[in-house]
Amino acid sequence: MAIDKELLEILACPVCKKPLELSRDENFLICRESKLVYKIEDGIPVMLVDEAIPLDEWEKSQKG
Amino acid sequence: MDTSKEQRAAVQRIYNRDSDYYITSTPHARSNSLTRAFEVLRPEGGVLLDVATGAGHTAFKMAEGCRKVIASDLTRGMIASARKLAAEKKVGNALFLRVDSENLGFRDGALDYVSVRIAPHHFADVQRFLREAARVLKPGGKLMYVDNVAPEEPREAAAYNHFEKVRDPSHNRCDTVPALVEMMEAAGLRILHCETLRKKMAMDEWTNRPHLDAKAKGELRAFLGNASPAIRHWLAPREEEGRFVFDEIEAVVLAQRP
Repeated sequence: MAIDKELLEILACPVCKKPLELSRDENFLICRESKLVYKIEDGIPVMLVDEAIPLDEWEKSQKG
Repeated sequence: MDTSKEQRAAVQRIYNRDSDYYITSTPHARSNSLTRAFEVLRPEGGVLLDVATGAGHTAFKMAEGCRKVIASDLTRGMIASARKLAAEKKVGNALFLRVDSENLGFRDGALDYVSVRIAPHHFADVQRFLREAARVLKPGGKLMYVDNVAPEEPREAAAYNHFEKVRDPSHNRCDTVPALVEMMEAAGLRILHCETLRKKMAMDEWTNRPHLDAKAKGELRAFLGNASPAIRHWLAPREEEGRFVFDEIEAVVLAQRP
């Protein structure tokens, strides 16, 4: 399920409060400032630091 | 583990397990405060974020006046229940999100309204939530805050909070009305309206929660039976038509980001 475009416009990283980048497959929201990646599960963004993926780990998983 | 993280873990443990209970729970689905929250806020278009939405009752009521509502909760199970209820009620303008009340993942000034109802007593840090709510509201944006409140005398407040915690271990603290007002003002919000409502609770229904054992039920009943005059005045325990009932007191507060 695709993320609502208006929601994407107002979401921010819960740590630095800066805008997020949508991954190409639209399954993740990336914050390069905080170096964290937030999952979108079944169309529901999970804006939780406790469940975020460190950016370097996520980048490795995308290459693998 | 920090306190907030422990509190978030307790909330997730309980609400993932019991999420469907909140679809039909009377105080959440049908109490006066739901109607009052809507009447006092009077949302007209715009985007509303409902924090700790539970099964989504408040979000879906507000959806009647808003262009779009975002029903948010910490817990995966609650969002699943809220989605189920939105489908049943045919709510077409609701989005869903998992978010922590103390670290709202929204840009500054992004929202017209924020609502929260019968939930902040689970939060580890209500002051931090209020600062976040003020941050994400547009200038002129409004916060509708509804929660159970405690008696003002500290010893009675502690006893009342213990009573709530026996029933629900993820209960953290009900604040007093003056404490809430002070925290909202400290967060930079201006109070536009504040009222309290008595909400009648039937003891058998209130304690008929998944996983609440007979010992805990006995302790809750004994607490009301042996309560101090101040607690009896606050909770008004009594028999009505053969049922044991008492009142919880809810504050309905409307605040605005200047």
